[in-house]
Amino acid sequence: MQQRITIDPITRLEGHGKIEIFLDEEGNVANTYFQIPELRGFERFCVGRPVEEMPLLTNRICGVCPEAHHMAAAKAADAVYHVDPPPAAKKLRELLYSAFYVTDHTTHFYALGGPDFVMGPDAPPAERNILGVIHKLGLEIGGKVIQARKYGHAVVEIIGGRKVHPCTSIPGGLTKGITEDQRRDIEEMGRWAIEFALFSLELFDQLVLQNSAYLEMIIGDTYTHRTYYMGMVDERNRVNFYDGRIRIVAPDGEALGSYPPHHYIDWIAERVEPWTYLKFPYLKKVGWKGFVDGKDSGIYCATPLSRLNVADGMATPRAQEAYEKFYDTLVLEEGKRYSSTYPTKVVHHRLATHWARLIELLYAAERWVELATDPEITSDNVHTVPTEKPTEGVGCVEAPRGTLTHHYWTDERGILTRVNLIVGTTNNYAPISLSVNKAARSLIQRGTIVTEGLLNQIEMAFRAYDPCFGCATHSLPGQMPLEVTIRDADGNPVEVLRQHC
Amino acid sequence: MRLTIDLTLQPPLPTARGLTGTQSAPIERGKKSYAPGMDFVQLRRDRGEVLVIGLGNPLLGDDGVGWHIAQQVERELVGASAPVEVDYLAVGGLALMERLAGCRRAIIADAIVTGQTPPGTLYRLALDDLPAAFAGHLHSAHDASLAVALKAGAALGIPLPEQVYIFGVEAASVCDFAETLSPPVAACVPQAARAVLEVLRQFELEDSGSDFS
Repeated sequence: MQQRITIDPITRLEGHGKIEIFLDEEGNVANTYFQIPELRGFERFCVGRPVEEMPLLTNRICGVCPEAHHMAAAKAADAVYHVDPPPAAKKLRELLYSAFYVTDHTTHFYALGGPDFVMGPDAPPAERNILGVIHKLGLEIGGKVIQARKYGHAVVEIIGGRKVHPCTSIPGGLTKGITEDQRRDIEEMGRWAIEFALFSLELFDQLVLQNSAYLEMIIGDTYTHRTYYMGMVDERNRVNFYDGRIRIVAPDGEALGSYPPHHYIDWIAERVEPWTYLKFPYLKKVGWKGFVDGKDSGIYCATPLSRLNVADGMATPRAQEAYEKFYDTLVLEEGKRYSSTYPTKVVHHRLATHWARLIELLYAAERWVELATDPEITSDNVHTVPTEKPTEGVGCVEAPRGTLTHHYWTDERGILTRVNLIVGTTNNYAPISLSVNKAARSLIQRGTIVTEGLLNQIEMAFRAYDPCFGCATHSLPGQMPLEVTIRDADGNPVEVLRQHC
Repeated sequence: MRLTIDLTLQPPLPTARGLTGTQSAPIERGKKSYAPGMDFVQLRRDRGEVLVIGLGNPLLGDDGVGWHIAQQVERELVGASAPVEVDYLAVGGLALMERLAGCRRAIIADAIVTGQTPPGTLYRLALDDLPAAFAGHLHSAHDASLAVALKAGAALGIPLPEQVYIFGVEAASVCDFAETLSPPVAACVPQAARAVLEVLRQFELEDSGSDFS
């Protein structure tokens, strides 16, 4: 019997990845709670402002993926004004966005996800960072990482008007196009990025896939959750970051369906739990069944892995090859273990997200060159003047950390009256909670707590999702500070574990 | 190159000299080139530069205090010939390190949440002194801490500041969207700006001292 514990709202989290683990009387895990901070008052902050401000304003929400908010806001503002930007404007936006993806995915792999593999998951946290990677693999790799980031920043600056926080998207398109000289620079940088992405996949192959212990860790049950997946696809069901329909695939690989962004309300509902301010999005058509996975539970995941799972393939040739290798390898391994239950093409192993991210890196680089060599890309026609009365609109892009939805309502002058955002990571709040619970259960049994491994295991699960709760650089200072409080059946703390805080 | 970060708490400096009359050369910026193979190190060779950064999210109430401090510093510097650049950023970790590349000295103003001192308390901090929970924007949860990023950058031969000074102001409200500061934090801005100007003056004294050595 678990004692009922009331969690006082004042113990709700501010600024930490705070985890509460409640044990039952046998000393086994009864329940886990993962609490994260929430930024408040965004809607109130936006109401009364002109909708054109949103691409500039929302890209200040977050210092990690401003480009994603800029794009979602620009698309939502297009929708509010019922205006379709000219093809060149859409292509330039997607080109900027592809370059941003190269920067973001590169940084994640080399500074966050990769170090667990390069240094080993048991290395001290102080060594599992980009410095450790440079020391172990050599300066040349560090130089390439900085170069990849620099090129990504450069493209964002050329098309977006300034570094990191682009400012050129307006309702109906862009304020400016690019010159032939700029196009040539962009193309050249993109070709380098393709080589770098191929190099990164090769590195992953050598480091991880050819190491049976790592492969076992990826395939193992600890980091596996059989949830639904969400991601954006083009008209041929291939991964797209900038535009398309949102597709949902069930744990057994069956497609639940797909929807245009403005139908999101028919598909996504939000579950409120008394112990956290943040809501848990889930699939309306499946329903909320609690913190469990499987086909009957509406919990879904939106990550690089999810995007590959919902798609039928990649839209560029080399990324498609990498995609095929990914599924050939992992479905085969999966089949050896669970073939009777899940024979289809879906990978559920959260650590495989790191591999999926590198395949997306290659796709983003290839798409970068594809768009940079598009005959239309230097066109002067980059803006359609809005003529209709503004009303309401939804804009959706794939942020690196999940599907990002902006929904705006305005009056007839284009002044915002209501705003709703579902940010990338929020989609993954429930799956991350599943991972926390599973890690706790595997390391706490009958009162025996493996304290050493617990934080590491939770942290590795986090890294796969790269959670960005609150969408602010500030709210989670440091390298994901974690505080885990383990309480006995009476609610008394037995153990408090901390990392990076 | 060797990276040294000044960690010592300096005593207040005499204010006999203003910020004018510096002997430093004006900043020269080379034409930007993005050509592949272009070395990052060559991209920003404007050594001698002093950079003041207001760090934080200006939309999140007290979180934006660094911006307010930097703005005040920028106003005070109007008309001064001192080669000081002021910038406003909402990035930490590697991106912050990349912004610091090429400058010789940097001063960062940021919000911090220690929960142990009243809002508006001014801290002068050293990079290595910062536990993660203190670190505000200097860390990025998505790549590396600034200390790690600076070490990585130095290992890669990126020219980084010899001195990094950090001022932090204890914040009250950082989770509510607002463009204004809470009263105790707003009250600290002039004091923090003076502290930044004091360090700038100290840089100037150091430079003028070396002219005669």
